[in-house]
Amino acid sequence: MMKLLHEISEELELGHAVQVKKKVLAAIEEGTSPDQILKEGLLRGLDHIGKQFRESEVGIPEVLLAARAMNTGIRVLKPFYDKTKEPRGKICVGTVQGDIHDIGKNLVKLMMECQGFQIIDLGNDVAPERFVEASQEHHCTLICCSALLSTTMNELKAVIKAFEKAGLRQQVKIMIGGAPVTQQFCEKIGADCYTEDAMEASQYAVLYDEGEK
Amino acid sequence: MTSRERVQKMFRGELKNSFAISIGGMANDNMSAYAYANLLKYLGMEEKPIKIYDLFQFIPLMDVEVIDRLGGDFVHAQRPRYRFNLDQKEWRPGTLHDGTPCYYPAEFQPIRTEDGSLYVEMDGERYARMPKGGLYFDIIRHPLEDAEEVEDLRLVHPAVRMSDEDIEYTANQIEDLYQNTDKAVVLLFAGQLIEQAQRDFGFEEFYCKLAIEKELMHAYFQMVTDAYLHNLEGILSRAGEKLDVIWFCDDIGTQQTLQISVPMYKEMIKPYEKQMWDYIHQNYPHIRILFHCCGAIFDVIPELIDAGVDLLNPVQISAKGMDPERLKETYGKDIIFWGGGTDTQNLANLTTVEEVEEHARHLLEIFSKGGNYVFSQIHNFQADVPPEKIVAIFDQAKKYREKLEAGEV
Repeated sequence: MMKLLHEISEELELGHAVQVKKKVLAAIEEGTSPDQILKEGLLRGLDHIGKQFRESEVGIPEVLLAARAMNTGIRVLKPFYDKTKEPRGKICVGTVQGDIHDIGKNLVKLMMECQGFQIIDLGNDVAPERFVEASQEHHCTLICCSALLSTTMNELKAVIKAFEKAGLRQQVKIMIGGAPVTQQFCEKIGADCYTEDAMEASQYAVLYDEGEK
Repeated sequence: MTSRERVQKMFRGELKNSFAISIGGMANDNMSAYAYANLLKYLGMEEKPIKIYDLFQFIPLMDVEVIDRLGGDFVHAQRPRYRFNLDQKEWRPGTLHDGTPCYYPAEFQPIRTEDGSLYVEMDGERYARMPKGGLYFDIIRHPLEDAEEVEDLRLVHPAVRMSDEDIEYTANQIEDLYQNTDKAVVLLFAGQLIEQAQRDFGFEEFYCKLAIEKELMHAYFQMVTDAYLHNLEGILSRAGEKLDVIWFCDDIGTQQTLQISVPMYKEMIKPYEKQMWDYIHQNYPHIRILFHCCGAIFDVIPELIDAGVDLLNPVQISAKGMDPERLKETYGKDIIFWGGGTDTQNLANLTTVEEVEEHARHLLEIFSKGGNYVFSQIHNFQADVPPEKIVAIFDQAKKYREKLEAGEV
């Protein structure tokens, strides 16, 4: 069993989507739990490639191929997963108004889906009020906003203001991220959490879901 | 000593106790049209036209008098179809979002949709979008998105290969700047491989193809390089003797790391850059290659030098591993840094003019040591940077240069 999980992790690192699919199915066949396949196979591979990327050993191409393989793995795994596990809560994600960059936002979405969250994807160029509406409509208490430009990062503050105006600020946690965003900026605008990358964002969401944040 | 003489002296390795300054000398040490409008007011030069030549970055052609006031040593010429394949030989009046009068290329006729977005069309299809309240256009159509075979590459963007008329126009601009200013002349050539491919294939498709469709990507890069060489030959045969610098740009870095690994750069990108840069160095040895590449690129700099880069911009010291002292110490003998003079990404955190001056002075000390330096801020000033900060930065650079030349520092 461990051999197969190890192979899933390796194939994912290499971006071999077809092999990942085959091996995930084989692991299910062997009776490995979907949770174990996710954590010790798929996520371990993604974690490895993430570390290599941070060390400049690989670049965006290798990470994207691994992400595609991850997507394939998740799609294969999801039907089995749903049978065995209570899904986690809902999260609203979106890129702020005036900004149409969504690669980072989509990576965050994927990582959160891997953790079992249901994502309400508001897309890009999202007005502050839209975040508020969506959180009410879908009973979402975790809001995840991204801004890629130094000229649009102030829109993150506008999202917080919109929740304050609606009298809902205390009911939600607002996570922020994106290239120009920093911990210092997060504190300055009064957001609840800044995470540096998609993996960290999904880990924070899990802690929040489990009542630890 | 004129600006041009200073720069040429530096290129010959004879300028040890001084450095050059650039503001608006190329496409990455300029400023948002909004910041420029405020600067003109501040300097009492409101009558100067604001011509937005780079619609993607939304930056103006900086007037030579403004460049002069700030101490700049460079001016630039650019091809007439600089962005979105829109001809800018003619200009039309228009306004910025805030109503400030400006000029746009006459062919720039964006379409406003009900949601307040602006669209630029190319070949009758929507190509770029600026969302309501946004300051920048982003490409939304990628003509090679579905390309699978080498044959499909025939759809490649037409702006890559210049017409004879456009080549002639560009050469005339160089001639004009050479005759009518005493500044060193830069050609904004761009010669992008990575960013052109991102536009043509789309970001995700491009990166994935780079790893798994190598044959297709080699064919693509060679095709684009051949077109660039055609353009270079045309322009340089007419005006090469009047040029000092050719500006190329491509982003290989991110804030934290490289976009592509060093081995992938060597295999997929470097051979094509080398073709262009070898051509220039072999035929026009007085011309220097300026390469603009943002981000955390410390590890790839030796490869860039080997490929033929003479000047490196913007020296993004806020990116990981881009420590100014380490950069100057490691590569200062082999390359001229153009930039690194003010960290524009964190400029908002420097609240007083004194703090800004001190910040610039500290970086000047590091980068100007032993000469071989072009002072400029790190990338274009954004819309909200106040003019007094901009003026303070460049006044500081001029003051520091005077002291250096007088042997006082």
